[in-house]
Amino acid sequence: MNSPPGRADLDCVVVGGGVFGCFLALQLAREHSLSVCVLEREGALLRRASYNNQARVHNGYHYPRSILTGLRSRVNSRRFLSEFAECVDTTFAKYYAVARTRSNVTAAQFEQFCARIGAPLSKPEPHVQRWFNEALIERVWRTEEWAFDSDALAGRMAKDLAARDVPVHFQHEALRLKPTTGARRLELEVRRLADGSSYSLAADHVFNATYSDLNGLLSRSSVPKLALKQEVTEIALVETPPELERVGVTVMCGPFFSFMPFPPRKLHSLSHVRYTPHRSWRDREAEFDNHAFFSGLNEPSYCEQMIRDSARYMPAIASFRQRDSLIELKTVLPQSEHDDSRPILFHRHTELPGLISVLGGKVDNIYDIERELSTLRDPQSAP
Amino acid sequence: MTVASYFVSVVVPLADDADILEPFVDELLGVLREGWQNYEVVLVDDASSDGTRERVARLLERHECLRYLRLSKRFGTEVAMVAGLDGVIGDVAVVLQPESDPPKLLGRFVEAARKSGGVVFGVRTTPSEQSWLYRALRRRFSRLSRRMIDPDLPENVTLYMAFTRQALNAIGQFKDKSRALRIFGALVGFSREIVSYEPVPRRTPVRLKSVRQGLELGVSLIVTNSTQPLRLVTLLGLTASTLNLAYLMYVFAIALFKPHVAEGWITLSASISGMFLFLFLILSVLCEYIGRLLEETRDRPLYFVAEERNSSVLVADATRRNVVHESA
Repeated sequence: MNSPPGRADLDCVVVGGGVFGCFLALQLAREHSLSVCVLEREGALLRRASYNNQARVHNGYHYPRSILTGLRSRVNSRRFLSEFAECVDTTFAKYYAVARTRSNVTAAQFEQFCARIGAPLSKPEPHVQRWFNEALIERVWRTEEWAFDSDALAGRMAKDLAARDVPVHFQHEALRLKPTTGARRLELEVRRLADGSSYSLAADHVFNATYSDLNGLLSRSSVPKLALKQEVTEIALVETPPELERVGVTVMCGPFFSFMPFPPRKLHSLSHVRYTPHRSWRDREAEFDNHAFFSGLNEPSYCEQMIRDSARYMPAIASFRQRDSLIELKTVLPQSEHDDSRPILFHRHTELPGLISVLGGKVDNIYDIERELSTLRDPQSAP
Repeated sequence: MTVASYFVSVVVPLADDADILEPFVDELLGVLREGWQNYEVVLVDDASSDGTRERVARLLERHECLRYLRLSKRFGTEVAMVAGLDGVIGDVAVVLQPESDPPKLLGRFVEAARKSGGVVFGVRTTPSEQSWLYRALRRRFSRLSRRMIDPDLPENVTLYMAFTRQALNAIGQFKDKSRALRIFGALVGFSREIVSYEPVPRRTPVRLKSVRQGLELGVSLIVTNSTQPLRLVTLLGLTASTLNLAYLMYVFAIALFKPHVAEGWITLSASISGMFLFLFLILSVLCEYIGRLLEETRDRPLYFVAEERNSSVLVADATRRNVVHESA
């Protein structure tokens, strides 16, 4: 055992330097005045799922079948926009469209839903209307939705964490947790990826914010796995024709597509409900380690399929040129698969008091954690 | 053959085909993998109740590029095919039936479609194994539909067909309630190719088709796709009214030239033949209008454009200058 890079004894350790991990660490340091450190396996913040996604700042439109998710999304996106203004691209025009057949929502239902959650819809410009294949698209609206720049967001998080003296240890991997009888409740074994040496940290709370590796840390610590589903997903990065450069479009609500600017790469992200998920498994049924399995995969790109199917609805998409693809593991709660609800998971493990697993699906959802943190010291009062 | 870069979509209708599904899909995917880099297979389940759904679920875990659509109730093979075709993304789409059509001919269908740029019909070379009554009626229907719908409709066409994207988009505009891929395929008019082949039944004995349903389908196809039966009625009505007119003249001639006629015969005969004359005339005119109505309500596109070209010499006269010499 080596000695740790900083303090060996802390109130909290956050495992995972994604959006949720960073926000958690900031909240704990800022609002609760706790000593915190962040462990990140990659070499920088927000490198994995926080980077490899569509970068959409949800504004409610996306969940026409769940008023609650839509409403929360509206409230959170306003706050996210005001707090992280420099990390959000608001300069493009975002359109939503509803398909005529095989859509789970009709144009009238969508309008009603948006009116109820107060999401603005307006008539698109005539030239925008002409982009769409009238035989397949029922109606189009201009909406207000934005994209975040994950590079800018990572920079902002790093700055905020440094301002609060929260150390972030890169290329450090949380190996396993065990209960202790000392002053702190938990002991966490950490490995430096650079030289393979390891050290241990003592803490009262360990936040497992490792997204697709949630169950990895749990099973290494002999804690029962959570019911999570993993999906290998592909988001294509494409170059658009000039007239679509400052445009995003989402077609609702079924086997359709969405494209919008992807600020960190100055390209557009293109995803398709049918082709973005490549393969999936449930953690409880899987015997392998998610990350080891994922890094051994050699996934083909389905970008051409995405372009071909999307071009049926919007012919201009046929001239999209693929530049790259983001292939990433996406972790979802099985219960939100069949409806539009996208709750975050905040799970206190009773088997190992002090260990909390956190899983969020959308960047603007981070604010939903705050209330949970206020009950941290007294877990009995947790709802 | 090198692995081609264009995209091939295959639509397979399934109706209680769980017993033959797996070997069929394996064979189909084997053929596709060898021939094309980009392909998709859409399995359209026409509301099977024999566990097809569960078997497909297992196939989806094993193979890539498979899609599965399940219809809410039994709509019939051709509607299932159309449901699949409506969502395919390929440059060429092929439909085939798992119970009889060999996947190894896929290459021939796709090549023929690319060469002709239109529709490829599969034509069986061996008699089908249906009952003699079904086959006799089927032959009769073929002859009738060639006379009434399209004189070039090939005989013994099966549902092993291939469409180019262009032909598919044209067929997609047909909104008729009774879907008849073979007839639509002929009616859109694009150039057509024929691939003759020998169906290989995967199931012995083959499932027999119901004669009654076949008859119903045949009548419905002719009625929706042809106004010729109505035209026949028009002709009949005109003949009947001509005969009535002749009879009316005969009654008038008798009234003028014959001295002793039974009382009331002339008025009675004249009124009856006069009435029928008008009745049949009206009927004939109505029939023509109903025929027009049928064509209008079908709401089919007036025409399909197969190709557009422009002269490659843009400026008509390169020596001409844009100068005027007088001002009016």
